[in-house]
Amino acid sequence: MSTTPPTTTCYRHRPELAKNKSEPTFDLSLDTVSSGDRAAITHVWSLFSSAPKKQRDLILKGILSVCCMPQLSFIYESLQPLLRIDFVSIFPKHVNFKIFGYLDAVSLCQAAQVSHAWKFIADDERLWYIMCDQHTGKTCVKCGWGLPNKLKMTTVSTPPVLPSLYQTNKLLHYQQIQSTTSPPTISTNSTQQNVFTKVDHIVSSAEPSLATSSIPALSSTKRKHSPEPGLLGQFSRKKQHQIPPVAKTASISVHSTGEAINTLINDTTANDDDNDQFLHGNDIPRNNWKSLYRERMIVEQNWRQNRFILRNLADNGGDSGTKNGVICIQVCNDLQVIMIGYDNNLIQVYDGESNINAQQPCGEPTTTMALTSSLKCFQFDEAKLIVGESDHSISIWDWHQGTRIRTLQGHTGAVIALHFNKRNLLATGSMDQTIRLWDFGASQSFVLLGHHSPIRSLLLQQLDQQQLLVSSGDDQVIRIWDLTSRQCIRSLTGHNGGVLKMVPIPRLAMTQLLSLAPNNEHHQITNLQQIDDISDISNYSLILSCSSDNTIKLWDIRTGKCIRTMFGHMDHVTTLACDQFRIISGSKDRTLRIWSLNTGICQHAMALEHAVDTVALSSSGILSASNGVGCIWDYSSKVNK
Amino acid sequence: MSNVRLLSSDNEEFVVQKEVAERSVLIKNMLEDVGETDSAIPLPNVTAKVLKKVIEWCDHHSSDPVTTDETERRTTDIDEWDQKFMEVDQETLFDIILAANYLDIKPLLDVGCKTVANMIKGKTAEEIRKIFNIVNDFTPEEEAQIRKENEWAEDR
Repeated sequence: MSTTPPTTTCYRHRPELAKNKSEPTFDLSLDTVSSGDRAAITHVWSLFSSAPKKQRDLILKGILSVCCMPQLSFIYESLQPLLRIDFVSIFPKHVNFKIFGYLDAVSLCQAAQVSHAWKFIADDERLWYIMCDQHTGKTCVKCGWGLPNKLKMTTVSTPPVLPSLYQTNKLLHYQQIQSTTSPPTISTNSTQQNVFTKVDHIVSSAEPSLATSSIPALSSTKRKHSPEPGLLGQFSRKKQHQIPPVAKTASISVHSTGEAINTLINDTTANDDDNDQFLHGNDIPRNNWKSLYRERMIVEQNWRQNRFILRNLADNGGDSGTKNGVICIQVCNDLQVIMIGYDNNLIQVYDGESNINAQQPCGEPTTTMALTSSLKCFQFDEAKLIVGESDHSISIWDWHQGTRIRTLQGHTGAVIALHFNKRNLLATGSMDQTIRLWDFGASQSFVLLGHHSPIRSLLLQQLDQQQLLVSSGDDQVIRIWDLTSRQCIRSLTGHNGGVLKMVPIPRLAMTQLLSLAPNNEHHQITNLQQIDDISDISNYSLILSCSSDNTIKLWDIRTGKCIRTMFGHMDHVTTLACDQFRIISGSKDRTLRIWSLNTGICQHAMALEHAVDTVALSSSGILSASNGVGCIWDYSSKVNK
Repeated sequence: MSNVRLLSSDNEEFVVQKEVAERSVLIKNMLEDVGETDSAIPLPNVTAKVLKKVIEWCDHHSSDPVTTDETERRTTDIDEWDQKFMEVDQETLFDIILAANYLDIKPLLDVGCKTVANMIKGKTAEEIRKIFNIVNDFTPEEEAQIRKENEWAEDR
């Protein structure tokens, strides 16, 4: 007898494979033939089964040559089910892992329901880690799905680095700001220092993740400096606790999926001989990455199906009777902070995570700040809050402590738009039709004149090392200013109404928006082809604007071209918010609309009782204010259909 | 162009161009270790039938550039020739994968694994069991529990 190669899948020579094979049932039909025939038939069978491989082949060839068509057809039919093999039991671990690695989440979940052996591989943490890595915070190139980042941010849960630093008496004396036109007066609280310089110092010495934390409106200028967006950083931190021991030894690089996969596969190979340890390590925590993926998937499904729970924000003493008096909302996912401005001149800070899906959201504020006049606009980062007020002033607050640090004077009308960045620059826009630039690094400020209407929206943008300011107002024009030359370098025309709000497209989303363009020529995003060379994303800057002409437009700041116009609203589009996947717009037509960022298609429209004043977008919900009523649209819960 | 002789587990000899045989990292390393040799290289884990298929594949892909592109590898797209090549019964397919693994021919292993993955994709657990003749070894309670654990993925 010839020896059989060990890798063959022949059941007879690998008896352990036969354990699942059902017993042959044809023996029963033997009873129907005469005893003489029965003996002959069983003899043929036993001759065949005792023959070595070569002789078997010979016997089969002989049998086949005397078969007629119906018998050949019978053989053909019988072969199909016999040639089905559970490969999981014959392949080495790393090959199985490789095969399952090509599956999508849905197939993996089905595979987990096949058998114990299949479940073991399909639930493997390493597979789900890769799944999470491919989908969270970005659109997967394979399946077109992207999942929102997790709201929770572990590092910032030990909050303010800042207050302690504020308490130290290391004062930085603020130098009188030099103004090129009319010198603004600056009233400084005696013991306070230059917040901007201070903050930057803190940020640079803190963890990178802290440096990247931002309110959405700031992300585009900052992403550039962060090595990886929040999620991976968060994953890497999480991983230290949760990745199973086997994977931990593999020292997965979080910065490159490719590397991670390689390491994982090599790791499996290395462990292949150690099946016992791999199979029976009972202390391996299972299903963490899978459950994280599941949780994020449910949120994304809710977004897609528009399944939400609508709750009114708690009434925190606004002036409007039964309403809760909300007029301004801002959310920072990374910092886990929601900030709400009320019509009674209060701004309150809430813990974001616990409030998104609380029964009574935004009940107890962590800090309250009382303004001297009514609130027009605000923006915050991890250290400071800057508020534009109706009494023409701009106030800067330490929102952790709830104390006012400084007030800036200069405008001669209510301050209704502002934007600051990480580079110590603050731009403010006013009813007085002027824009003021406050450069805290160089301790100077200047005025930009050009708009012939109140300034509605401002965005500081970094492009090609050039510091730009984008401004818009009721005069229908979006102006781009070079802050070095202090000149308006471009005017974007196209809106037939006042441009009420502008938001930047997150840098991460921009990459995917641009890379989608060439592949989807027949899609609605074709206009993006006007952007030719996308090799260096830092040369691009896309912004969205909404207008009283009822449209939303997507602009390429570099060329000044409008690359998409989104129609749908029936009245002034007053407010906008945007993340990596979707755009939320609110309008005087009393609807809130959700648009796909990639296609520009309106996915959902929700009716409200009144015109929408402001919207904010968190990864698991929308916050809106409409006629003084603040609401939270919670997409994070599993809602029964 | 020098040739290499390969000997299958069932003692059938194949004469192959060196550059074709060197698609296999195992053979390449062996040749480097042994140097010029006239004796056939024994491959005790590969039968003649499978070796023939593997050589056919290596021959067709002998001029392929070595790709290390991860994104390329993550997609399950298979080129047309490879698809045709992989249209074989499961026994042969799995033997090819095992041979590719043993001979260390990464691109062939990739194609094989993708082919299997495509057989699984989009199927229900019951369909998968049918395709690969797998016995459901879960108890009804376990099955219900596992279905519940995984039902979230169904809803798109």
